Amino acid sequence: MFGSYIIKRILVTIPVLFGVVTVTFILMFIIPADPIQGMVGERATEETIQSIRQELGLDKPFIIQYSRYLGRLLRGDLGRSYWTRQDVLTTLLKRFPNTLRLALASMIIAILIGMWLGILPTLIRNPSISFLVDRLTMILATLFISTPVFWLGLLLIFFFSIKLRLLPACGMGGGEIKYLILPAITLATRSAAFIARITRTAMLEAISKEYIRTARAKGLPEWVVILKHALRSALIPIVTLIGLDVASLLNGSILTETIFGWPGIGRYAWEGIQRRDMNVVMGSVLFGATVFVIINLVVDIVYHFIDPRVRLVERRVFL
Amino acid sequence: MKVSLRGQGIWLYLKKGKVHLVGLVLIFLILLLALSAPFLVPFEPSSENLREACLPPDTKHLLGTDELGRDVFSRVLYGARISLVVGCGSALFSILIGFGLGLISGYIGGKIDSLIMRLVDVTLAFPSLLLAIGISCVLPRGLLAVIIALSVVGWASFARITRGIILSIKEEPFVEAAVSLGSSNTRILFIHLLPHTIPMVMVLGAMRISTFILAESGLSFLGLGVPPPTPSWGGMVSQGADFIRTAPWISLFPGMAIALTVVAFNLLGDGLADFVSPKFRKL
Repeated sequence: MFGSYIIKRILVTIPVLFGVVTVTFILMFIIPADPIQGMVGERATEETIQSIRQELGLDKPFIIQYSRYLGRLLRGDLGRSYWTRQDVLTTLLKRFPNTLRLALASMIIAILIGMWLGILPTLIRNPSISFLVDRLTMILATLFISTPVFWLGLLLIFFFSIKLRLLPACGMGGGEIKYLILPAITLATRSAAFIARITRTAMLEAISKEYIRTARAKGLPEWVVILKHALRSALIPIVTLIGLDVASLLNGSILTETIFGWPGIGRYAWEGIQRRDMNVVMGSVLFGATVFVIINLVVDIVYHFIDPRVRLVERRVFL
Repeated sequence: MKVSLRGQGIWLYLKKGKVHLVGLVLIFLILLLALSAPFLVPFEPSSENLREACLPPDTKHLLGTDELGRDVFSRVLYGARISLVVGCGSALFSILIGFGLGLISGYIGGKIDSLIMRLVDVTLAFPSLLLAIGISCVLPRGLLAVIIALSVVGWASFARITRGIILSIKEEPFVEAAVSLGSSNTRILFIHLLPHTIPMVMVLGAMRISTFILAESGLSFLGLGVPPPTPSWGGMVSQGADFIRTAPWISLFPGMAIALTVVAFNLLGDGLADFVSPKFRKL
């Protein structure tokens, strides 16, 4: 039954990916700037431009260009950068581990901060102090959600790199951890806020359950009741959010990588935007969207695997 | 999902939850400042004066000047207009597209429903900022281009929610009664079904304004927003980034303005969401 769910879920993903490819192609097709101009520069004659256009098939109708585009994609060809003449897919694959490294580091920070902020009010027994801490953590979460990533990055650079001279502001050096700290914190704040909110809601719901009352009545220490019993049942929505957030970190990574000069796919997309290098921009959009779809697929399958209730509902639906 | 949103009810609710009221007051103040910007600003937002470049905040230039000697305070006030217009405009367009398609999808069903829902799936499959970047690159730069880019990204969630509400109520007895009385499809859709979807869609719209404001600032920061010299908060932070060592105020104040506006809309959105959710209303 579980195997059939995975197959069904993968089959649903295929038309979505096809749609993503189509949307990206339409965007490239209707682009006002002439890509040939970008390739040959402004001094090229009209004849040269025309012959390259014919050679690349850019004078052909939409449907022919589209089918050729699909054929190229199946061969893993996203075109070449107009600026550097390097293969776009090769560059994206070379840079992707850097983005992944940043995303994973920020996810670890977000989980640590977010879950701690969400659990903290429930750990305090004094109702008035707990209420105060709860309000403060939620205000902090709202601030984290509302702060633009690129501005926060600049503030961190200003304080930790320029004023205190503690951490490097730009690049990833030779891969040392110190280069990762500021971009990872910047990227983590928004996710941390969402995790804090969902943890708080899930924990409030969990501690109102009868088995928690039973655990307390047995005389278990409060931290055991909260961290062992309540947190365990609160974990499912938290894990789901974390999974979905890994994919959305790709969004924030464009801005964070731009600010910190982090050589990932976000920075590559930004370089493409600056140079109006459409193969790079659209290649990055397509690559990012594909990764996004695949991560969501994996999260769905993992969620299906860890939550028996979902499996039960699915089984009823299938039956 | 049947919720009545009477003005008085919302007002009483927002008054009870003081934090949400703070959001409403802040939005009102920001709106007031944006509208009265031409009367409040001491300098033209685009007028350059290189002799006064990168001056720190003082009594003449309340928030300092940028690298071209432009008054940061004046530009922040004018920048509010762009952020609010893009935020509200994108929410409005997204609602119009998503609401319309969601209504059709939920009510008609069948192949049209499948087609619209596949479009929703594809739109939601893109990381939103990436898709907005792709669209912004295609359109000629300007205010309308940003609104279109964000609306194309934002309509899908409205369509999905509207469809969900329509599906949940179209089998209700009052709809069956309308059908048996011989009401036309248009009448059932617009008189009987549509009013039930409005509260939830409006709340989602209010919550989304903050997301659109953040996205606009992100696009402007990347150089894909409203072109200079029109002041936009994201663009101002971007310009100031090169001078963060010597003149941090150029980036500091527009960034604060973005955060404050987004906080205000988030507070109001949270309040409205709590109001329409019976589970939270009991608390």
